[in-house]
Amino acid sequence: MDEAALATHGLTHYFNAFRALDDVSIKVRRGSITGLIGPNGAGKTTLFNAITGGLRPGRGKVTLAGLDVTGQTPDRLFASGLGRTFQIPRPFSRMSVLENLMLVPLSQIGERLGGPFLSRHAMRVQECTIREHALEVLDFMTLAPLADHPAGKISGGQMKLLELARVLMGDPQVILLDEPAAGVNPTLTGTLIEKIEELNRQGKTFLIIEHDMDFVMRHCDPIIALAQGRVVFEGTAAEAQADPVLLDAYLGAQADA
Amino acid sequence: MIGVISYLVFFATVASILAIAVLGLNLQWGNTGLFNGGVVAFFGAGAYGTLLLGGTPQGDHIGGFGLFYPLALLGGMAAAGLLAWVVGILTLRLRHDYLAISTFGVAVAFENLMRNAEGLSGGAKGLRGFERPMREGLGDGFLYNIVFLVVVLLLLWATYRFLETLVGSPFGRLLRAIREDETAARSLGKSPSRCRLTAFVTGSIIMGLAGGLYGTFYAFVSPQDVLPTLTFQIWAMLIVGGAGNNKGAVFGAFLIWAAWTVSGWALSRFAPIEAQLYTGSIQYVMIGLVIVGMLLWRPQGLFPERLVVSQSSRKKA
Amino acid sequence: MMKQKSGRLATKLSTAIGLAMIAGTAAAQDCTTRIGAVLPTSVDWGRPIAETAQFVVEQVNEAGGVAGCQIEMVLRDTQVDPKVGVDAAKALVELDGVQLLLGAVSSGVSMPILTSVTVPGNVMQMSCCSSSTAFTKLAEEGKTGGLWFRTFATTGVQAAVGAKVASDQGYKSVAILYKNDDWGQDLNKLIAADFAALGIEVTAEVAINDGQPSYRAEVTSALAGNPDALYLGLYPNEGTAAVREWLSLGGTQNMIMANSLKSDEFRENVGLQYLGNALGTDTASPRVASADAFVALYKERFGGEPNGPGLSNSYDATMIALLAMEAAGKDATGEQIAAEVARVTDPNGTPVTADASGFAAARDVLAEGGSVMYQGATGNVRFDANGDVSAPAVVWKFTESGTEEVEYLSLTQVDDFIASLK
Ligand SMILES: Nc1ncnc2c1ncn2[C@@H]1O[C@H](COP(=O)(O)OP(=O)(O)O)[C@@H](O)[C@H]1O
Ligand SMILES: [Mg+2]
Repeated sequence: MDEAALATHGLTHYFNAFRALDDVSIKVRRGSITGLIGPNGAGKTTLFNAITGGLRPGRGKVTLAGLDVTGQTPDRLFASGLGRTFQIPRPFSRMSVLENLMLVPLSQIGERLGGPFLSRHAMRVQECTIREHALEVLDFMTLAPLADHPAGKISGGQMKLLELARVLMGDPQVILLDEPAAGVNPTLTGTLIEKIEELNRQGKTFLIIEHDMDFVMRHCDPIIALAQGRVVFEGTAAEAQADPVLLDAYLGAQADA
Repeated sequence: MIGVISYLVFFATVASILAIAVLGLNLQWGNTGLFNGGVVAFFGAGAYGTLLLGGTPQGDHIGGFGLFYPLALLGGMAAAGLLAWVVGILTLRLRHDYLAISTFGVAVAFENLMRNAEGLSGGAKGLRGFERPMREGLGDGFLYNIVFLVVVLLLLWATYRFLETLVGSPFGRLLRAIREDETAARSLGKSPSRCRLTAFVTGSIIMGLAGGLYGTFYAFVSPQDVLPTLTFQIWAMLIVGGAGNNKGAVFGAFLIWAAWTVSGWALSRFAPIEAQLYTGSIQYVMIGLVIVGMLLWRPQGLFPERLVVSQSSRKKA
Repeated sequence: MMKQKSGRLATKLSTAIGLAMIAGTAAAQDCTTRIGAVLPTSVDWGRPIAETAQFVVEQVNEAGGVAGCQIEMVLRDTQVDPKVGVDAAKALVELDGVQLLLGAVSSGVSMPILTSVTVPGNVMQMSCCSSSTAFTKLAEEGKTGGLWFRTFATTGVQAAVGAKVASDQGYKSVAILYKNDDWGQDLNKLIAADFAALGIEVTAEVAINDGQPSYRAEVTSALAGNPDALYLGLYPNEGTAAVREWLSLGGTQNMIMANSLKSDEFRENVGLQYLGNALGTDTASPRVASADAFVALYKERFGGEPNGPGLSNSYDATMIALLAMEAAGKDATGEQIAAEVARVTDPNGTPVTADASGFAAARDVLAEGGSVMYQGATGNVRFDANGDVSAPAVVWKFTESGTEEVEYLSLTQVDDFIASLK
């Protein structure tokens, strides 16, 4: 129990009469890269939203490092160390890549109306620190050359990297990635995987939604599968490959799509 | 010659006052993405507030407290801020189109209130009894207008500097992020509602400042000054100048106001007398065309928003 | 895009130059004096007011102009926007150097022009139509510098005569619909007080806002007290709509109308058959030859009766202002012109008619240092110390072809009646 960085307990959510989440209980082990798979419409993104406060689950509980955080707002959860990215990237398009990152650190002096006027010096000092940190993160994510580009004008793959970079600025302990490799070219996917593994070695916990089975089987452990809002499998990659139910539920739907 | 200068001083005063209001709208729309369809209500609150607080007693309505002028002006700004705060609390959760409609409604309600609440605002007759500050020393001729213009320009400059500093700071970055994608901003630990309210109130206080100066300049305000036309004019100025860019906002104010006045002057000067009866309509059409053309060919305005504005992102010297 | 822009500019420039040339040839005279007019020409009822002013200028020019110079009236549109009106006035004063400004119509526009342009600039301002009582107060405080005049009789006359009509008709109770602007609010307050003074019950005072799709709610509340008659302080647009609703809901056809409804549009849109018991009031369509002369002149020039609001006032405002200018002589300042207004509206002066020959006659009298009594479209106009006019009044009703006078009240009758109300 204690080793779960993040867990859900019987999460259930309805969109009108449609049951998108049905008694979902999962555990994300601290220090793991947990894979979340399932056919389109299985409820994976909905689960992310329910965990990160984007929607309030109808029933059930979310715990972060053992603490009940059910129904907390996304901003509070981020402050508590839970970061996420989006399936369809949401960059701040008309801001530079660097500014996308510099935005993130919490409680900046200059974020209050009076800050720029009353604490000008302190704000400048802090801005320098933030800027340096942002440049480091960009460098780490191989985005440094794009620092001054408008975030809306970079490629889709670069946006995925940017989203992860942005989340990293908040130094969260648990990071949820929604289809980080979807629509990304192999080179960038390679970079992304490399960075995820490196961050994981540094102690960050990941929960990753991914369709690319190769990616999941090679890098995720354990793997959780959702279908029609229910957890249909939980186990290692090897077990997943051997599970007929999973293959049927997942690959069957894959074939439809 | 002195006539030309005297007119230009007058023109520049009105344009600068309008520019201040456009700057206020730019903070709301250009930087934060808040569609304020009722600019005139906050402008009007500033004008009425200033004249009520700074005017002489009038018998038939309250006010006329004869406050020291800067205090009266601050009071007018506070009135605009207070109105914005109430409106903001009630409406900022709304979606853009609803926010636009409800603020427009607030402006109509404001105009109606001023028209009917005779005991408060003097009703449709308007609010008199205000003495322009320092009139004793300066008379009310050319010298006065020059001094007043200098004061207005200083306030315009101060507003501009204030906003440039603000949008160049992390606060401005936050506003832009909220404008671009509120959900993403929330997921990164930001709480949009407070910032939006702050921006809305601050922008409205700036509009209130403009309104206060406007009322001061004419020493009079009536419901006719707070009709939706003004909201339209302020918006036109921002769109043409370039939403998101404070220089553009100021430039747009001067440009549109110049277009408005110069076209009227040119038509009265050059059009035959029979056609002069239609100059008003011709003017409306011309200005409408400029705005439509602008939206078609240069929707980002004459001065597009700069990509990187926060000071820290600039290369250190 | 660049090409298009410069192309458009070129067309604009060439049109402007073309227009300038036309204007140039038209005004080929020895000398020209400019006067300014700021009127709401972009509003349908504002345009005839401007046309009437221009008509006066034409006649005066025909009679040889003012102080030997042709008059050029530079007309600016206010768009009923105070900012625009004030800017136009300022431009006329500073760029065209006018010493005389005609306008505006709305009090909300006239007032800031007065306080921030004409009084500081020592320019005379003469309005045909601004009715707010605020001007009287301002003048009493000495803040108009004697530069302000208006030929629109204060609302008091209109209200008093309206109340007199109700009392003469034997109405015991009246509901009031008034336009929700400065004029309407003033009128309502004054006439409600006059009704009370005459012992007539006011069953409802309902404000009517412009441009509503329906006035059912307003009309219903006016109907509630079941009054003997309806008083209408409205303009043709909303007046038509409100009266139609009133009649359709079974309201009485006993109506009293302010002069603002003296319009063909209103008569045609409501229907003459419903207006049999409707009596209107107006200040000053007096029984002097000059008033008939005005109507005749107007018909000849425009091919229709002068039925719009403010036309006779606009005519007199312009003529009196130009007479005063003539009296003040060449290159007179606004202050000097304003000071001569009394000499051209002197009850003991030589009577002059309101046309080209009258102007020529006045010129001779004035040249010899005499004074004249202008007999205008609104009667023998006389300003009090505040630049306000009192006036004789008429009661009128609608006919097939326009309007017809029912009763005439001379200036003394009006003044006596007003005094009796106090
Ligand atoms: N806001 C919403 N309103 C109604 N239905 C929704 C909403 N969001 C998602 N759904 C439905 O819930 C189901 C699960 O969606 P989602 O969680 O996005 O699936 P995925 O597993 O592909 O991420 C889908 O059938 C989707 O249509
Ligand atoms: Mg999904």
